[in-house]
Parts: sequence; structure tokens; C-alpha cells
Amino acid sequence: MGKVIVVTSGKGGVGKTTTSANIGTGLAESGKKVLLIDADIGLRNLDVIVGMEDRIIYDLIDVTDGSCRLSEAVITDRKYENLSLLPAAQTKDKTAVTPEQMAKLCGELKETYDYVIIDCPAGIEQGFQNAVAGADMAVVVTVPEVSAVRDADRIIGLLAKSGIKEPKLILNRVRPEMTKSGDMLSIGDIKEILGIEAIGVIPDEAAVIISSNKGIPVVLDPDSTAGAAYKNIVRRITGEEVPFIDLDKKKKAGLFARLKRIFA
Amino acid sequence: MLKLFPKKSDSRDIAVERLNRAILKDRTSCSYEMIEGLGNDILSAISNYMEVDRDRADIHISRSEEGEKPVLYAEIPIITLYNNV
Repeated sequence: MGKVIVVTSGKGGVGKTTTSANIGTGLAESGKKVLLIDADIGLRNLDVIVGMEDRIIYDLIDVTDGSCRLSEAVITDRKYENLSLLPAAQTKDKTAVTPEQMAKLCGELKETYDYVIIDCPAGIEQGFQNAVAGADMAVVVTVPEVSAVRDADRIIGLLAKSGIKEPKLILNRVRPEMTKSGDMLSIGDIKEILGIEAIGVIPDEAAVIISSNKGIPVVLDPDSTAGAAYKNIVRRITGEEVPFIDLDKKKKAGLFARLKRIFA
Repeated sequence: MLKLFPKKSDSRDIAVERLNRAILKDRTSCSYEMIEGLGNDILSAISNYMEVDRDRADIHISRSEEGEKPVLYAEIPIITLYNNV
């Protein structure tokens, strides 16, 4: 029986889609059968982050309203055949599907896939209700900024109302030098304020943007610290206990290596 | 856990305090000043019965299980119980 994980945040633009893509790809890389679902109806994006945007024929709404079979809408990754995407519709909106339909679909998908990762849209309206309806657990993505953390708190409350307890926190776009200088909220601050456990901390890195330019998730980049952080998240999701990367040390080590090359 | 008595210094500490206030208001519709007053009243009332460590007292509001109503928690270290009250 598979697990359905919803990736949510409340606030837009904090990294839900990137996180969904990387968790899904990382799980597939480790041998799991994964289906990514883009639940952002009308603002399709997960397809572009995983580089499958040119192969979309049918979408989630075609499946839920019976216009096509699931197998016709699902797109398989070229590199990992155990990774698939069910894209969002681009010409409809969040009212085109109901929470009940999503719950029913997720129930069926759990029989086939080890993990179903649902990329939740920003906000708290029907898009959110649709995305959480079939989920067993939730990941809350936030960034170390006051507005994002406040919205994350609200989302955690709404998740509890929907029956999803103990969501896991991912803190994205961390700049260790700013945390150190006292100008950025730390993971410790945010864990204490929100009262939930953290499953990952992702540094703010150029590699993340470069990988989205290419449509190849950064978890597949062996030189990226963000990629390594996503790999660790995948391991924690599958039940492993993994120590968190010391981002401050990593950054200093990288700088030192670059200086060595200059002076060698 | 939203600490009631945080210290202020750099912008991160300011952010923490502002977040605590905003989230408290979002969760409970109570003002920070009201909760602060409540915390002080609780400590004063308790001090009739026992000596407590005010500095290490943790009085906070958290979400309840179903996300419906928040819960007020008080964890107050006792130094001495006054037996002859």
C-alpha cells in the first residue's frame, strides 16, 4: 500500500513545486515507484520543473471527469521509468475537480505506486482542499521570512482540521551566513514557533535555478549541496535517520576549495 | 511553543518576537498584551502557594489536536511548596 504525501506551504513561491519534483525524483532514483501529481489547476508548473512539459496530452481533470484513462494521462520520465507525472490542466481552474474526486483517485493510486507526491497550490481555498483530500501525510515548505512562516502556521492548523497530523517541515532558501550574523530566522526558531519536526533544510543555491532552467531536478546534481539536502530528505521519508548537513561548514569548505584552486 | 518573554537584539530576534505576536493573534484573536497580563496573573496567583522560578517559567499557547481551539499550557518549575497555607 503506497503513501500519499502532499507538499504544501500556504505562501506562494517558497519552493513547493521544486520540493515535490526533487522528493519524487529522489525517491524514484532510490528504486521506489513514484507518481507526481500537479494539483495547481490552471497554473501548471511541475511539468516544466521535471522537464516533461513537451509531452503532455491529457491531464488530471481529463482523468477525474472520465475523458481518458489514467494510463493515457500519466507521463513516464525518460531516465527513470519508475517516475511518472500526472500533469495539471492549464485551461481550467481549481473548481474543475472536487476533494471527493481527489480522495477517490488517491485511494486507487495507492494500490499501484509506492509514493504519490501531490504538489499543492498556494492559498487555502479549494485548490488546497483538493490537494489534501487524499493525503496520508504532509510536508510544509517555508522560507526563513516572517510572512512565509506566518502562513505556514495557518496551513498547519488547516491540515490538522483536514485530519493530517504532525506535518514535517522543510526550510528552503537558507543563507547560513545570514543566520550566523543574526539576520535570518534559524531552523531552530521556526521549529519552535510552528511546533513541528523538520525533515530538511535546503540552502539557497544557484544550482537550484540552473537545474530548473534545464528541467533536471537538482537532487540529481552530485555537486550541489541543495541536491544533497534533498537526497537526505528522501532518506528520512523512507524512515532512515540522517544527520542534517552543516550548511555553514559546507559553504566555508566550498570557498576554501575555490581559493586553493586560485593559489595552486 | 510561543515564548512569552523573549529577549530583543538583532533583526532575527525582532522577527521572532513579531512572528510570535502575529501568530498568537492569528491563533487566538487575543492580543500579546492580554496573554502577557494573563501570564503575570497566573504567576502571581501561584506564588501564594509556592515559590516558583519565574525566569524558567514557560507559559504558551499551542494548537489543539483537531485544529479547532488553541490550548494554554503552563510549565512552571517549583522551588518551594508552602505547606502551611
